Amino acid sequence: MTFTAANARPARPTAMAARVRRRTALGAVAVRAGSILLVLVLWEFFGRDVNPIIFTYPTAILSAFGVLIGNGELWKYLSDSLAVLAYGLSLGTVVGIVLGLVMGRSRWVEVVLEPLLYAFNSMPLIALLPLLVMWFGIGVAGKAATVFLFTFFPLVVNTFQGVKNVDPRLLEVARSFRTDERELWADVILPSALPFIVTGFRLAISRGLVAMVAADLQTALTGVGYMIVRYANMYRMDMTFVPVITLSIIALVLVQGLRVVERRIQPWADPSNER
Amino acid sequence: MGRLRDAGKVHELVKSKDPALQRARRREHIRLLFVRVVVVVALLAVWEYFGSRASPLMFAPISRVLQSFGRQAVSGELWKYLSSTLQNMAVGSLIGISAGLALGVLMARYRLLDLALDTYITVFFSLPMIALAPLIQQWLGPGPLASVTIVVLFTFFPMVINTYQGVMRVDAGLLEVARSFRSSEWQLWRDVVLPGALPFIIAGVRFALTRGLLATVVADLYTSIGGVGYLIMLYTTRFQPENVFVPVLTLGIIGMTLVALSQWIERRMVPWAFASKEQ
Repeated sequence: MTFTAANARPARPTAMAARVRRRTALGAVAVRAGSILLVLVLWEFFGRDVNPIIFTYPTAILSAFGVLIGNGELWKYLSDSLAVLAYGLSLGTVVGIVLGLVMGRSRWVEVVLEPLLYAFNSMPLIALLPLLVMWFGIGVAGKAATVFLFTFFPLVVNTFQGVKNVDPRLLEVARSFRTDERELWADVILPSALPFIVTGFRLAISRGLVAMVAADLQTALTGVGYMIVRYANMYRMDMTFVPVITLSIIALVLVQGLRVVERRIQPWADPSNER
Repeated sequence: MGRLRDAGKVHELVKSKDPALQRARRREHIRLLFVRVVVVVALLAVWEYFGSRASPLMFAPISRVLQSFGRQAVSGELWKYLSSTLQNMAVGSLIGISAGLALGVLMARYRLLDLALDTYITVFFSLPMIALAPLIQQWLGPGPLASVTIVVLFTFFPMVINTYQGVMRVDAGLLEVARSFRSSEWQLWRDVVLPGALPFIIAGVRFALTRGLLATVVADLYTSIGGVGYLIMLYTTRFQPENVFVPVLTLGIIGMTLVALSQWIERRMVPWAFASKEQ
């Protein structure tokens, strides 16, 4: 007998069991929706009593959304930030993956780069932000450099681990069948490293968003981060929440979307691989 | 049973007493260590070379950074700012980690709580928490309270998620056996659930500490203007890169120490999680 309690389902699901399962799924949706609704109602109810320079409430945020979308301000600042994210992230992704592949393949490169990678990966990179802005300026270059620095390391580390984790037996079999180097990469190494690379990309996106906002806060000239600071300093809490919520939605869509991709290409993935 | 036997074999290999094998492994270790030292020295030499040729307003060679390090350390300036940073980080991480642990356990235990809260946990875990820093500052004013709050926010959510996943993934077979032997709820938690979840919880602590350090620097830079973040800002605006690198390097060393320390603890407390990786 090999089955454990986890998969001890009845062999033939009866109609009643199916009904029960449907009812619990429905119950789960109801609890989640109820919880969100309750929080929104309480927030609306008590938020109205708080001084508006300290806190706000959902309908006020909604109308602030209307104003900031209507006059194009949200999109103006958001597009600046997203452009920075796109530049930094694409550069970080390309360089990170290439370097990770080289490191995984060449022992020399690995030995040389590992201490550096380890050091940079465990330090709070944000401490370098004032220096980066000094070196690259307060424009797009300085911000993109920040995003690059934040996104580059998770990609190198994960790609490297992916290449290192290729099953040695597969490599051996491929070699015994006289696979040449190009085929080895295309058929064995890249497919088995791919899930690691996607995980690296997800980590890079969430770190890249942090870097993007941090760079906005540091330079305080453009971008959603600046929008948050400006409205917070003006005591317009309703307006302040608009960029914050927009950022949450973007982060949620990107990060959860990549999680779905990860589960598709590697359903056996270990969620403990969180960093 | 097959899996168990294999695990035993791995253990034997790692702890092999064969003197030839041990010698070979020691030689390999020494060689690797030597290469690493050479690499680090070479990197420092490159830094020195380019640093002494760059504009002194933009970059500094490592020798001048070390001089500044000595000066800031002796005058007590570094410690004065570092101590407030470390204090905020310690207090915030402690609160965030213990609260996260508690909520993670509760959510794994009570399905209603899980369903009611998991949306918020996912949202707050994904959103770049740094976006809330200006709001926190506006609410709590600059100072240690705002810094600690930011650290709590950064450390709490990863801890909840890791603890929750750890508890949920405890081997259902073990739970059933414990129940059939009439374990009480308390015994079940002490003997089965918590040891089973330990690898996840410890990984969560490591993750939370790294984020906690980041959060402290964020707070130093953008909310409270204190601690080592203040030192970095101060010397950057004065164009004294040799002085900027002192707190930056110190933070790097602290980060590496934290990671190394938590990995060491991980190895000591959950050696079985490493049995397969050591090979």
